Amino acid sequence: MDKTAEKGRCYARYRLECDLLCLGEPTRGGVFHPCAKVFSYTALIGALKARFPHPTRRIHAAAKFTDKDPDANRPSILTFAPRERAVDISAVPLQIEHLVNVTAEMFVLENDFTVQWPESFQFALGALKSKGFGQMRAEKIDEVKGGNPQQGELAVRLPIDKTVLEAFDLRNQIRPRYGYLYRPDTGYPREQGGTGRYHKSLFEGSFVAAHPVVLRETTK
Amino acid sequence: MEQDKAPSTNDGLVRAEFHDIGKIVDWQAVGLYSPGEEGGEPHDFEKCVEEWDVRFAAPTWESVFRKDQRLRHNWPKSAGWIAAFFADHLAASLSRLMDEGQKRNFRSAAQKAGIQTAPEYGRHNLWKDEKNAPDRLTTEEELRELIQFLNGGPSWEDTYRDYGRWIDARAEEAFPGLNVTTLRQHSKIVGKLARVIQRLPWTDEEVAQGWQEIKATRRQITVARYRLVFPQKPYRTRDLEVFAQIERATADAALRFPDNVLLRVDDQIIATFESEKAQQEFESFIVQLGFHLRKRSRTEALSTLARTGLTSKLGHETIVYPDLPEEIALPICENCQFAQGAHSWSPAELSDEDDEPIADERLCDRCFNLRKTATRLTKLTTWRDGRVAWLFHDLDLDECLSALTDLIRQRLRARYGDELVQNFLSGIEATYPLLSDFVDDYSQYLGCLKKALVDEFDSDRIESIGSWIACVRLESQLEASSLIRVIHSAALEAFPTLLDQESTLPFRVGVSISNPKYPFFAHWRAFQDMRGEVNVSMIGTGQCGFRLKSWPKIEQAMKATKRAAVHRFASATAVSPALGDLILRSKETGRFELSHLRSLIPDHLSLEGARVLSHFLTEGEDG
Repeated sequence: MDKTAEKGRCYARYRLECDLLCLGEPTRGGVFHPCAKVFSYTALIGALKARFPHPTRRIHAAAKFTDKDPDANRPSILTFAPRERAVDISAVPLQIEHLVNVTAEMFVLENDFTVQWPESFQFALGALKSKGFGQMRAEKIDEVKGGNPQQGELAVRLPIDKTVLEAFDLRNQIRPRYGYLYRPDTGYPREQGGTGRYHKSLFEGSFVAAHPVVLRETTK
Repeated sequence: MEQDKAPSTNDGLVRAEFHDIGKIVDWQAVGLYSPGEEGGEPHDFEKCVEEWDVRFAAPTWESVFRKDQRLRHNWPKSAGWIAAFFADHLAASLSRLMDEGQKRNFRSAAQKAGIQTAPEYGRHNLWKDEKNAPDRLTTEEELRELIQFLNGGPSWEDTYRDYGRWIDARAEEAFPGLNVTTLRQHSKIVGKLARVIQRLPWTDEEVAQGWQEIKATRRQITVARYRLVFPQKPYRTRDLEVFAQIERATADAALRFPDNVLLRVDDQIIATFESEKAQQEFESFIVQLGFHLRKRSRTEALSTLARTGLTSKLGHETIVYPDLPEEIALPICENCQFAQGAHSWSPAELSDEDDEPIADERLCDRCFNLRKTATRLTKLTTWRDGRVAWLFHDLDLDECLSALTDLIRQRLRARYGDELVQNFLSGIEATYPLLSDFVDDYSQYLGCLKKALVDEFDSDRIESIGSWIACVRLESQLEASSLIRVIHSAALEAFPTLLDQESTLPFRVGVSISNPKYPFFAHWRAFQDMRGEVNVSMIGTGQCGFRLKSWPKIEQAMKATKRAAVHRFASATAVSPALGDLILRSKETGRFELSHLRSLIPDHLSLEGARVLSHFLTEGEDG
């Protein structure tokens, strides 16, 4: 039995920082890489699994951008034309939308496995990792213990999956906003030849009853 | 303006468009009324029941005589009188707030304060501050002709064709200060509403009741506001076909559900429904066309609506989706991301005239057919140099109601003073007929703007997609100033009072500028994030918003400032807003070279806005 279950639901809160981040939406026309302004569960879990591989233990995590610093999380567009080596000619220029000076908070549901993670670590998230994007620095701040579900707007994207929704105590989809998130069928990501499907998901702005870690903060 | 079409006469439903047709008659001139007479002008034809040859068999008279319980035997078992009564009440400017007794009290109080309260029959246009000259039928002969015409059971369309001049000129409410809605729009909306209300399952017992009993009815209708949204993220110019489809969808919905759709504009519809089934049928019709519906609605008893008003607050927004699969196999459609991308959109699909970035895209059935059948934007695909400015208008019906309510209240306060308005008229709100009048003028404004753009830039340099999106080719960025000046002039011509208000315009204008080959997608994202009445986005530079009425000051300040100084300021602000602010405030530059620019901040423009707009004066920068 998972010993952390004795503590009740508990999330480890991490501060996340990153210089350049592209939370990739599907490319448009092969030349425009849009950037989502919200973290999706599937992308985050995929990145954390790559950092902390384990054949059986589940990871449930969610992340939200923080807006305390007005200079943080600024959108920007990078245009570059990769050269085709064989002919030494620039291909059609690519436009990559991304965020700079990223600050966010990540909440990881504690279990026997995640509680062993180091206080600080790095992992790679999002698109264009080979170009230096998405190098996330995580540092544990504290733990968020207990808490009852509240009504509010979702600040993340979650697949409609019983175990995922239970992980965040999401009990009621009051006014849902739907979209689709990619989930691999096997342990291999798509870039490594794995297969997967798009699953119906709850997108940001959905009005739900859930644990506050996945809800937008309301200003009073 | 949309044609005034009422449905067929053979469905047994009341034709409540005619309920106030008597208002186009000058009853005093005809000799059937004296000022001061109890009950006011007999515009319900109460003095014409005998000797005037009214033929009750004609269905046009049922709503006219709705208040006369003696005459209801002419329409046995018909709930038409109930429907007309409630519809008129819900669509009226004043009857919700004041009964006849309260109106008398108000007049008395106003007269004591020395304020004139004689009726004003001509309609006053709130946003133009123009009044129609009162124009009504004035002779007995004209009245008899009208009665004979109505005895023929004409359609509302035919009636408007023959009597439109008087229907347009007359205000729905002659109470001075509230004569702001045309009889035309009031009649049209009452007609639709009444037929929806009549479709409720009224019993014979209810029909036989009097007004005092029926006005407490718990029978309910639903009021809903919809905005059609599409899941597609338009990327190629052919994807813009979706905007034309939206216009067709709302037009088709209005034809299919003519009574339920009270009004429509661009991608929005306001509707009422007599049952959940009727609402679901309407929603299914639209979602099966491929759209999602953002909806706010409220189901309420007629008796409650009669107290609170039809336009009062609706519920939270929900989204109506079609049936969505739990899973989608790869690849997903790159355009909408709500279906499988079964088709490949490849270079082979593009003709020689297309010159867009070439890469295979996976599309679903709907998105593929959308592109395949799209009307070609032949001008846009040939523009290769200079700049393009995408122009986008967004009218928010909620903000519009709010702005119109503010205008009415200001007008009443100016006329009667705060105390009288507070005591008698504090609950006054804009109605759907008034909103409908505004939407008519807004549509005209869009048409006039298009003509003005053609005059300024020439039709070869303009591509229109739907009535509210256009693309203008600019020879240089400097021409963006002229574009905004044209918009300002057209808006000032159409809505001078609204431009003058402290509260914001009910519509926003997006102007997004880039080189011609930039994907529309980037402009569309700017239009989803508009920050002011006018939102100027220069792709690759930034985005800013400002009040439309500030444009003449902004343009003058920009022109009065030396380019070199502006360029220095813009470059500094791009590095750091604090540095830009420093330059503005410095003795050397801020007070002299940049004094005109400085005078704009912050009342008319933010620092960032000044930086973005300064690029209008800088040639050759890439966007």
